[in-house]
Amino acid sequence: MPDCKHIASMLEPYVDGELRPEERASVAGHVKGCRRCQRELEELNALRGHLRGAVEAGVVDAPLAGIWEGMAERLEAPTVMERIWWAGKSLLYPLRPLKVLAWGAALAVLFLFTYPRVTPPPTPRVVVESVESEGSVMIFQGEDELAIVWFFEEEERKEGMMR
Amino acid sequence: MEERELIERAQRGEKDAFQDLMVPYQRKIYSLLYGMVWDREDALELTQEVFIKAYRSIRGFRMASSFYTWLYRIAVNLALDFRRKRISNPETPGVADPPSSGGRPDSSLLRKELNEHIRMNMATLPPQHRAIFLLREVEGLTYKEIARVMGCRLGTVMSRLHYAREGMRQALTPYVKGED
Repeated sequence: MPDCKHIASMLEPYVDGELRPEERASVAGHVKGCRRCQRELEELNALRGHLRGAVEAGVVDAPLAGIWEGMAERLEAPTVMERIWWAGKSLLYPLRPLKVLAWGAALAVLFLFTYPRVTPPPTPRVVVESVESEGSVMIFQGEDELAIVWFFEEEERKEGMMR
Repeated sequence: MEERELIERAQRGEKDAFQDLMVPYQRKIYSLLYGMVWDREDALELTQEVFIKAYRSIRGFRMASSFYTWLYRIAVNLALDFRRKRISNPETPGVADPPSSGGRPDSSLLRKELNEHIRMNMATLPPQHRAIFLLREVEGLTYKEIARVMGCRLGTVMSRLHYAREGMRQALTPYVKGED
C-alpha cells in the first residue's frame, strides 16, 4: 500500500480528475483505509464547494439578459483600420512560415555585415628574408614567432621593430 | 445551429449570429469575471467588454483552437488589465479576520460570513493564481485547457493552483477542516 506522503502529492490531481486510471485506483484504495488522507480530500472538496457557493451567490440573480441591452450600438462593425488590419493579417497568415524564414535571413545578413567590423582583421605577416645596413644589426627571435630587429647607426642609435 | 457555423457567420459580421454564439457562454464568463473582481457591476461591465472585444477580433480566430478557451483568454486578460488599472485605487479589501465561530456554515448568516471571508482572501491571491484557481474550481477546466487560456506551462498551472489552494485552505481553516 503506498504511503501518505506519496498519496498526498496525488490528492489534488485526484480531485481534479487528472490522474491515469491506475493512479486513480491507487489513491482511491489508499484513501479508503487512511483517515488522514480522507480528511485532506474532504478539505479539498469543501474548499471547492465553498468557492463555488460564493461565486454562485454573486451570479444567481445577476441581470445577465441585460448584457445585450445597448450592445448593438457598442458592437459596431470594426473600423476601417481594423478591417484593413485583419484583412492584412488573414492574407499574411498562410505566409507565416515564410515570414519567420525572412526574419531569420535578414538577421543572418545583418550579422554577416556587422561581424567583420566588430572583429579587427589580423595583422599581415611580414617575412624578412635579408637585411642590409651600414651599421650593426641584431636580430632576436622569440618563441611566439615574434622577431625583433635592431639597427645600430654610427651617429645616433635607432631602434626598429618589425614583426 | 452548430457553433462552427455561428463562428463563421460572426466572422462575416453578423451580429445576431454572434449573440447566439455568446449566449451559452455568458453565464460562465460572468462567473469567472465575478470571481476575479467580486463586484457585480464591474463583472457585468467586463462581460460586455469581453463580448465587444471578442466580436472585434473574431475574424482572427482560427478554428484549429477551441472557441471557449479563446473566449476565456480574452476574459482573463481583460480582468487582469482591469485589476492593474485598479491597483492605484486602494479599495482592494484587506484580509478578513478569522471567523468568530467555527464549524460549517449552516445558516444563511454563516454562509454570508463565509462568502465575505472568501471574497477578502481571494483578493490577496496574486491575480494569475486567482484566475487559475477559478478556472479549475468554478469553471471546471482541465490543466491543459487552463494552460492554453493562461498561456503558461502545465507545471506552472499545477504549482499556482496548489499555491492558491493552500492559501485559501489556511485562510478558511475553520470552514474546510473535517471533523474528527
